[in-house]
Amino acid sequence: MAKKILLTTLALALMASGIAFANGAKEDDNGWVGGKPSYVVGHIVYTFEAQYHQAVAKQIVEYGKKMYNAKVIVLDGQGKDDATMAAVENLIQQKVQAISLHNPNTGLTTTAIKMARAKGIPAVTTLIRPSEMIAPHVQPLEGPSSQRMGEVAATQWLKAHPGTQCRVFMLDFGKFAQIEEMRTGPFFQGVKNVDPTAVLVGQLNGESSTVKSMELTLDALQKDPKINIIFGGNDEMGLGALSACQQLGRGKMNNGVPLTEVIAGLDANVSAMAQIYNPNSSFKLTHGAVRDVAYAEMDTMIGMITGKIDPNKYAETQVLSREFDYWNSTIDEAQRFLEVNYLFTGSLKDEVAKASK
Amino acid sequence: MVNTTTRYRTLDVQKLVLLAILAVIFLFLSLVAPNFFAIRNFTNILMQVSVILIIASAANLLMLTGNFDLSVGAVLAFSAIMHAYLTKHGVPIGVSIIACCLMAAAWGAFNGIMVGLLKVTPVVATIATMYAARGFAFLIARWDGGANITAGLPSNFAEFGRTMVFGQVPIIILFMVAVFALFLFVEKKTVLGRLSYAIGGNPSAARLSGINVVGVIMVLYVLVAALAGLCGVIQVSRVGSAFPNIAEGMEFNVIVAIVLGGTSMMGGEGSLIGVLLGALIVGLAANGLNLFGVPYFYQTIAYGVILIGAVLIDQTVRRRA
Repeated sequence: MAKKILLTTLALALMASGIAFANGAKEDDNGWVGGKPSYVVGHIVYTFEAQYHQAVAKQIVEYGKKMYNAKVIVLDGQGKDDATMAAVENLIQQKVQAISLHNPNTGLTTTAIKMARAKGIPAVTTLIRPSEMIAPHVQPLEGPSSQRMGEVAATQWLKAHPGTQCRVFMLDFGKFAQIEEMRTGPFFQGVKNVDPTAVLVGQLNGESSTVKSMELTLDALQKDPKINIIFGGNDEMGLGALSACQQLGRGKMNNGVPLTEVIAGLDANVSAMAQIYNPNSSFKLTHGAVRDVAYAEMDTMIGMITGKIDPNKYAETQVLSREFDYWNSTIDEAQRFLEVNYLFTGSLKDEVAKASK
Repeated sequence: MVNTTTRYRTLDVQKLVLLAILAVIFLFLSLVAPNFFAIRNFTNILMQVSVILIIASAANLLMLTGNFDLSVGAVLAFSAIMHAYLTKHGVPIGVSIIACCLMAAAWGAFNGIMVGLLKVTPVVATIATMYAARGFAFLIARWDGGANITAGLPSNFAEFGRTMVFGQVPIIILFMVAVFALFLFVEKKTVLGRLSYAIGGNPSAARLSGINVVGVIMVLYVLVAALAGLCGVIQVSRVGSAFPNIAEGMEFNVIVAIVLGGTSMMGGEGSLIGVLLGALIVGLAANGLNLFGVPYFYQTIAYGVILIGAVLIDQTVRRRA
């Protein structure tokens, strides 16, 4: 028995020391003006699994400290309703002064706002509007950019293949109404604006996963090999679609002339940009807003704390979601965007060179 | 002797039932689903079941002993992200593949120690590993500076997973065939296979008759994890980028394929051929639903119905036999 307990303790200690080692040094809490933060606020990330959400969190933390001497407690909603609610309760227990929240469940978001408000903590929401418009909201203007991507994709395809019909396949998150309204719907509308005969061949849930999206796209291309425009609801799904195409000998362009299909994603992250500026890859469009969303969330939280913004009234701060594509935006613009939004310190040209080999 | 004969007869009936279900689905999709009956689509289906079948080949032997592993998806993710991390930081791809499989095997050894030596129940032990391995996968991505590792990978990163053997067969299918054949041989013709049945049939009797039960369980956990590691490397190489959330819930797909194939969760009964049929039923169903463009919500319901339906038909026919 003693031997078992010893072995169990050793195994647990080994695991714990590994985790402690992996975490490295504890984050530096010093450097606040006046020795302590002027504000303590909370930010609940939808899921840390996506580059986009990590970047937004990073921006909020840095901007909060620099601009307002504010400490931001960041918690992961893990893409799950229960984890998001637990995060809200956690922040309430920690007595933060305001909360910013991003979750696709509109009802849950309303409940979270009311729960925080009952404890005197104001909340701001992002991207997905709550079921009851009762608090300030930050809204990236994704609809117009998604529509423009659809138009550009269709235009470029028809320029290279005149007389063909645009056949679209889309990967989404399981048909959330507002994702339909801001991403998939406008994208397809954009395609239809250029080609009124365009058809939506299929729309499946890529679950924000590259592997799942690859598998679904393989099936979709089997169903209809004539698919020529693919839209991924985020860049991860778009990259999965590209992998599927490449495995079928597709995914190709010739210096920006579409040979097999045109793929679009969303979020404008480094991996997507590396493909967009690769002249031989068919992943060619994306859009995104990171820094401005983070800044707007932080500004709104401080505005509510200081009484400049009414925490009980719906007011929308709109943020441009910048569109990038191979044909209409330069690699230097993309490099600058990545530096400013994703705090990217590398060279996009180097990434493109690697992706092009 | 009578018991053994009855067991094999039951298994044969069970395989026939699965084969019949498979044939019905196949026939239905051939007649109705657009572009189903095509070599390229069959390759596609095999590619989609390959990861499940590679891991299930070893996991089936483990389940024959009455144990199972819920950490395979997380170990796959750990290996996947580690492979991207190592190759991004200059480790040659071949070396990284071997290193990742060994690291994955180490997770398996940990499971084996917990279950075999310390007698922790497989559910608790492998769930603990599942959380730890998945956590490390996220942590490794974080060391790299992001949520995942998609940029800065060597230009030949995707070559391994996309290799076409003889210009026709995707490498993952070749691995699947090789691993399946190997474990079929192990199950039918080797001591390890016989010991697995014996341990699952009656662990106490196996122990009393001098079988190294702990050793067998440890070896099987290591094999399952090593294969999960190999699949992680292949998958991440196929998509050309690494995400720590890869293969979430895959452990259940593996278990579904094994159970659907007729292997008892209590151990001692089952066969790898049944697992192959189970995996193909799941793969065909998924492919068919996608070809029909069935939305996600209906697909998950359909999986449940197919699983329950197949198990009920199987149970009914076996009882009558």
